[in-house]
Amino acid sequence: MNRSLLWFLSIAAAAGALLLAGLYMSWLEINYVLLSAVVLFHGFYGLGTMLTEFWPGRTAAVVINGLCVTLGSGLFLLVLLTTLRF
Amino acid sequence: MSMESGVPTSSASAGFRHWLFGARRGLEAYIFLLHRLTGLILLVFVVAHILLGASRLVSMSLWAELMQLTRSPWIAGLEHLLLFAFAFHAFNGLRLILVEFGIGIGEPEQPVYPYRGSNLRQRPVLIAMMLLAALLILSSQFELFRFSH
Repeated sequence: MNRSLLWFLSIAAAAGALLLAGLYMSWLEINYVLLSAVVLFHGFYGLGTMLTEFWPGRTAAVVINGLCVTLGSGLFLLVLLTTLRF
Repeated sequence: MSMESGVPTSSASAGFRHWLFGARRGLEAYIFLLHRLTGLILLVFVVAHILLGASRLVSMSLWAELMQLTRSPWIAGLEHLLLFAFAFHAFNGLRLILVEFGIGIGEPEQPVYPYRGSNLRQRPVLIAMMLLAALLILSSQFELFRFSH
């Protein structure tokens, strides 16, 4: 898979997500979801950085970052579900 | 951090020591420590906020009970402290962005005695950002006071 195809797919995914968001969410909800995504990414990226300073090493980094990605994605999913449901 | 066979090794306790006692290096190290602590506080709040909102997915009565808990004076006090953490973290984050772009740290120069590090050169930016954070905290406290009376 070359880089331009990946680029196209990512743009298509972003456009699709925006279209779905526009269909099912208000402007305020879209802002809330985007803000949540930014805050969760920033927060868990920072937490991962701090923890890898305490527990250095390749295995620890994989475990820590895996946990951070899982927790961040899980919480973002909760935000999405809550916003779409209520 | 110790050196064994030329490879730097470290441990969690060494990491904590570096965090806590590295602050002896000066004001910027204290700011570094505070930035991380306030970041952790904000992350805990965000997670709690999301879980509280998501409790509606379980049942509305559970959400109502949890919301009742948030109306206690203790939580209100913690929310005031949260505002302090937010203002500090936000404005110090802006300072870090400026430093990353090389703004406010001056041009590279020959090391001529008495040496003047980049920390000292960017300190006015640090002071300005902390003043802005204090202004935000003060104005918000005023607004909160006015709102609650």
